[in-house]
Amino acid sequence: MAAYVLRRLLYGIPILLGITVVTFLLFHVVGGDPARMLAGKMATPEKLAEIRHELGTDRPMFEQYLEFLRQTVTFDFGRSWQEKRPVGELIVAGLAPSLSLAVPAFFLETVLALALALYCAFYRGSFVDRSIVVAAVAGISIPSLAYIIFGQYFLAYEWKMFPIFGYAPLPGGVAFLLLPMVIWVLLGLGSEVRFYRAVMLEEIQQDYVRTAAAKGLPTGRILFRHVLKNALIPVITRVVISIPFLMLGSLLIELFFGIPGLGNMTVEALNRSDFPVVKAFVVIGSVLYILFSILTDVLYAWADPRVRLR
Amino acid sequence: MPLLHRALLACAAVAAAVVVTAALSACGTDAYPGEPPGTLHTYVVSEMKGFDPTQAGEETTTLLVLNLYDQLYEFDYLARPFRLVPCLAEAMPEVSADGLTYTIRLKRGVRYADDPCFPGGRGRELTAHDVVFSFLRLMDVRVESKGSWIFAGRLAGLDAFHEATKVAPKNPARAAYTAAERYPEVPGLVAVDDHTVRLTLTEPYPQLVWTLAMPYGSVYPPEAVATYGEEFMNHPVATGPYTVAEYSPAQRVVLVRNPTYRAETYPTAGAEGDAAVHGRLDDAGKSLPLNDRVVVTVFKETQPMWLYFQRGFLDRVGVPKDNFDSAIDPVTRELKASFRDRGIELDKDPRLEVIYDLFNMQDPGVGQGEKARAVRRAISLALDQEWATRHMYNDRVSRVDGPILEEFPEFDPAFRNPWKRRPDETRAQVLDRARKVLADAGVDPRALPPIEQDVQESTIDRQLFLASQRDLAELGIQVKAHTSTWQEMQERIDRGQVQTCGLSWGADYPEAQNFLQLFYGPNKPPGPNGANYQNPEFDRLYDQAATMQPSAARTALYRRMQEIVVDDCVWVVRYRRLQFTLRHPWTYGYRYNDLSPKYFKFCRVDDAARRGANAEANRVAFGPPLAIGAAVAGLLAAMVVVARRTKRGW
Repeated sequence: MAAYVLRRLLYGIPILLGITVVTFLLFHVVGGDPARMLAGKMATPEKLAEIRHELGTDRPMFEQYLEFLRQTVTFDFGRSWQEKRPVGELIVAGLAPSLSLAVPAFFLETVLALALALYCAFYRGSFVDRSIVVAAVAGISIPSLAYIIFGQYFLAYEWKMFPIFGYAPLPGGVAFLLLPMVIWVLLGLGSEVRFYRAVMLEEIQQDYVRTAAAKGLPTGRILFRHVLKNALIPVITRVVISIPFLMLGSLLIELFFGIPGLGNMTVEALNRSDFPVVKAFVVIGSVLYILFSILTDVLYAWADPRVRLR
Repeated sequence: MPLLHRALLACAAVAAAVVVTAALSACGTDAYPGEPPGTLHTYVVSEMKGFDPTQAGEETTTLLVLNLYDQLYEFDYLARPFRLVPCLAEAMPEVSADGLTYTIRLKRGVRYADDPCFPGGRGRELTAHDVVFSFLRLMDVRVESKGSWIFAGRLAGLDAFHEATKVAPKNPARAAYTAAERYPEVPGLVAVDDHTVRLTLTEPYPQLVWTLAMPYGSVYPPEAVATYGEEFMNHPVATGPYTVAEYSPAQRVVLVRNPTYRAETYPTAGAEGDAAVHGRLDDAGKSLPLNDRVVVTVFKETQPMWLYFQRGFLDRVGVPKDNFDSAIDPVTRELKASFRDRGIELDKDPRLEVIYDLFNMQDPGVGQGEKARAVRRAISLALDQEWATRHMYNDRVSRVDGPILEEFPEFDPAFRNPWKRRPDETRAQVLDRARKVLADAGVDPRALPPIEQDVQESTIDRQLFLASQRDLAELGIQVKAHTSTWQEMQERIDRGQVQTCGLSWGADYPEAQNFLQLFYGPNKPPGPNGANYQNPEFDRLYDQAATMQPSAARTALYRRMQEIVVDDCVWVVRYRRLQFTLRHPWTYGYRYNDLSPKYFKFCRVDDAARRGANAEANRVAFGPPLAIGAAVAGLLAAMVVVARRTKRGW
């Protein structure tokens, strides 16, 4: 397994290089001149030259790319062009708010989706199964912005069930995170239930399930020990690959609820052409994605003894 | 109990926990439980980027810097037309007869707020040396200042200093610019003694005094820069009415009263009509600041900001575009009764700006020659701005005829832009006039190649383009869009690739020169003359007026310059936005000023009135949470019933 992991890590290097090249070109060829934005309305050629010099964007492209590679290796992305603070410091500051929303919400969403999917698969064709499937499809069809706007307006403003806006660190700030969490769960629940229901249905119709039932095993044991465990591979794929995205935060929810997380920061950085911050997000996101892909493979072997990592 | 039922019960418990916690937290939806009285709640619409005055290039930093720091001068809070009054200065500057030397005497006894950067943590008295240091730092290239333009080329020796900073090592904690470190002397910026500053200009610059009221003109102690270095941006040390108690750039900043703030009082006289405005002069003569705390919250989306105001968690709000119809009557353009009944008041203030369509005057199609001028004039006439005002802007804009706004002393009330629709003219008449302009110049609009308009990627810009396309089609002029971001458009303007595009310019100070510089030849891109307009007569008049102190003769020159650019139709002069602000009845003293939003110290909130109103607005409704809980319970019950009745489906 160690050799497999090492080989996958090595495969990750060219992928990461490709990502850095694309990101660099997008910002330097398509993205325009950041000095123009920073110079403001009273720009002069001299002022623009000064800013380019300070940012280092007047250096040859290859030299700038090498600097980007150095930053990628050292994970030191310098200072934000807008905030004038170290990028690492900004990311650390945004990580806790993002995770305090994303982790419990994602956990709740996954548990609820698995439970509902298992129920639907087991009682397939029943009134409740059909209702849940219809609700799931309807839920998927509604744009995410609608959930946020209606949730904030009705649940928080009209019915005063939750605070409208704001954030405070946990545990004191749990009230601020409840509504964003509910919206997060509702946003993802439809597609998760549909996916897991399909997985469970396929598994529940396998011969070994019928054999287990014929042997007289209790229903719960069949469902949770056998069906759920054998359905774990697609579940692991979906769950583990989602984890890097949790760290990058939820863009819209954070914006609307004033959660100072990484999603919020990403939008701000893109709007302001803050290349050091965008670079950091792209590289960290890519590295996490590669690492969690490898972790997924490792977990396959753990979940299914038939899988061999070579 | 079967395992499946247990799982269902677990799910039920989770759902019930959410509902119960929500119901319980509902009792805590007051945004500021336990807050001390005397707190003003206001907001910004973008993330805060610190408090360094050299970085005050955008709205949020400008607001924070102006309200924390003091400048030599500030705008009279209530006076309209705008005028300056001394802030740190004792009086208005003494200007030499040749207009080159400004002597400014400082108030005595103005102290910095206590801060660990001072010996013993006790703030010292502000001196003229601090003014010199702050202005030099503004010109330091290594500080990446956004405001060096206010002094560039103006003060004797300052450009040489600016050049010297380019080769100096970067030092964020630099607290002095000494000859030992090869910084040249700056004869144009001298502390004559502890309480006198002398500014010597390279040539007369009558607008200088306005720039001294800008956030870039803020004064701070070198000790703060030395102590905090790069973190100075997050540790303001100032003589202003507040100090920072809590700061989270993406969330909020809490300011508290500076106990060592100098004696200052609310103005006793306002502009015409101020006496009739609720809360405008109620605190006349009272000691400033009028509140003990200010909480500035970051709202990047307008919906939560609007809901916060409605619940009484914000004391004032600019009406967001998306909520305009819910607050403002579509016919009368006044506040709806549902808001008036709650005592909420509406202020309508025109912004000091011009929204315009720029033509690239170097472009052969729309810029060069008599025929191109006729095309520009015809376009200006044919664009149906009345329709756009009504349907695109909900009447949130007002007509502008030229670049000199009515708040400026040089404004000519008799001036009418001949290339705009007259109030008494019908759409058909103005189109006939446009056709005649083209015909007189021998232009066949159908033979013209399509004009390319740069359009930004927002819905409103796209809609405005479609409206322009429709309007000009009535003349037979075709327009096509070139979609770009703001940044791309600026770069295309710099490279002279834009034919026409929509832009706006907000005033930096209330003088015609601030807008007329947009037509001055040497200010060509990347400078503010985005139209690349080159007119020798205009440039000559501009040069002549630039060194003149305010006078009737200078006003005449500015008016003549306005006539030239309007006659040449360099811009389609469109309109200016109206700022609609709502105030709760417990908010006193708020006055909109987009030039200098220095209002924190002048605002007061009536805590008793706010508490009473908020208790009513925030009364918890128990019905909806219970209904949602019942719905969840019903779903779970149905699941259990199905589980019991359904035959297992292996």
